[in-house]
Amino acid sequence: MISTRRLQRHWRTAPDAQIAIVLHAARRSVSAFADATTASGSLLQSWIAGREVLEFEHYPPDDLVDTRSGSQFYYHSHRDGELEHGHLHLFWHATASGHRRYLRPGRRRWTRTAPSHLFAISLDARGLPVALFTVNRWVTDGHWFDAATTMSQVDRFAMGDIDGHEISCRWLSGFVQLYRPLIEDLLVKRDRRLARRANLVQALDDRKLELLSLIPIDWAADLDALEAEASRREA
Amino acid sequence: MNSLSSTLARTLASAVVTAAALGGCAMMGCAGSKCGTQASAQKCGACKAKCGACGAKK
Repeated sequence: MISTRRLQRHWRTAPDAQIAIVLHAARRSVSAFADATTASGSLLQSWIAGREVLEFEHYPPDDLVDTRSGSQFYYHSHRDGELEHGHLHLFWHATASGHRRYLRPGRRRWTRTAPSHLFAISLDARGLPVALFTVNRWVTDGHWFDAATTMSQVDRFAMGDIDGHEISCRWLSGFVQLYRPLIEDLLVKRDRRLARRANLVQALDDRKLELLSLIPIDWAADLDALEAEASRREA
Repeated sequence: MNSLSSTLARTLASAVVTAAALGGCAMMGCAGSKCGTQASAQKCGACKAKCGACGAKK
C-alpha cells in the first residue's frame, strides 16, 4: 500500500529517538484498541454504547472534549460506500490567528471559539481504522488554516483521561502520533487541491467540493513496517 | 516480531461488528454545519424540531 511505503521511507531516515517514541505510541494505541474491544465489544461501541446508530448523530452524544489541551473529537456515520462504517472528526480550539484559545475558569465550554477541523479517520464496522481524510471548511465550519499551521495543531492534539472514555482517548493519542507523516501528506494534498482554484474563499464554501484528500491505510502493515525498522536498528 | 499486528488480528477476530447506520437527520437547510461539533449543531436546533425523527427514536 502506498501509505505503508511512505511511512517506511520516513522511518528509514528518522532518528532513533523518534522511532522509539513512535513505537511506544504504536504499542499504546494497539493495547488501547485491544482493551476497548475487550471492554466494549469494539472501539466503535466504546462511543456508541449499544445505541442504534443513526446517520449524522454524534457518538458519544456530547462529543469528547479535552478542555485543557483544546482537543475534541466525535464519531458519526453518513458516508456511502463500503470503505467505512463511519468516521471520527478531530478538532482543535483555536483563535482565528491559529493560537490556542484557553477556556475561562469556571466555563465548561468555549463560548466564542470556532473549533477547527484537523482531519478525519475512517473506521470499519469492527472499529479498524481504514483511511484518513480531510474535508472542506463548509462541512465543519471553524477557522481555516494552511497545512503547516494545522500540523502544529495536530502536534498539540491530546486527549487526556476523559471519564468513561480513557481507553479510546489513549488509542487516539497514540494513533495520531503513529500516523503523523501521513497526516502531513494528507493536509498538503488538501492545500494543493484548493490551490488549483482561483478564489480560495469561494472554494472553501463550494458545496460541490466536500472531500479534499483521502489516504487509505493498512494499520497492520504499518505496524509491521515500524517494528521491522526498529528491529533493523537493533541488529 | 510483528507482535503488534498479531495482537491487532486477534483483537479484530473478537470484535463486535456494528450494524450500518440507519437514516437519520441530514440537517438539510439547517444553520448548523454538516459535520461540525455538537456545540455548533446545538446552536440552531432546527433539524431536531423540523423532522421529528430525533424525538421518535426515544
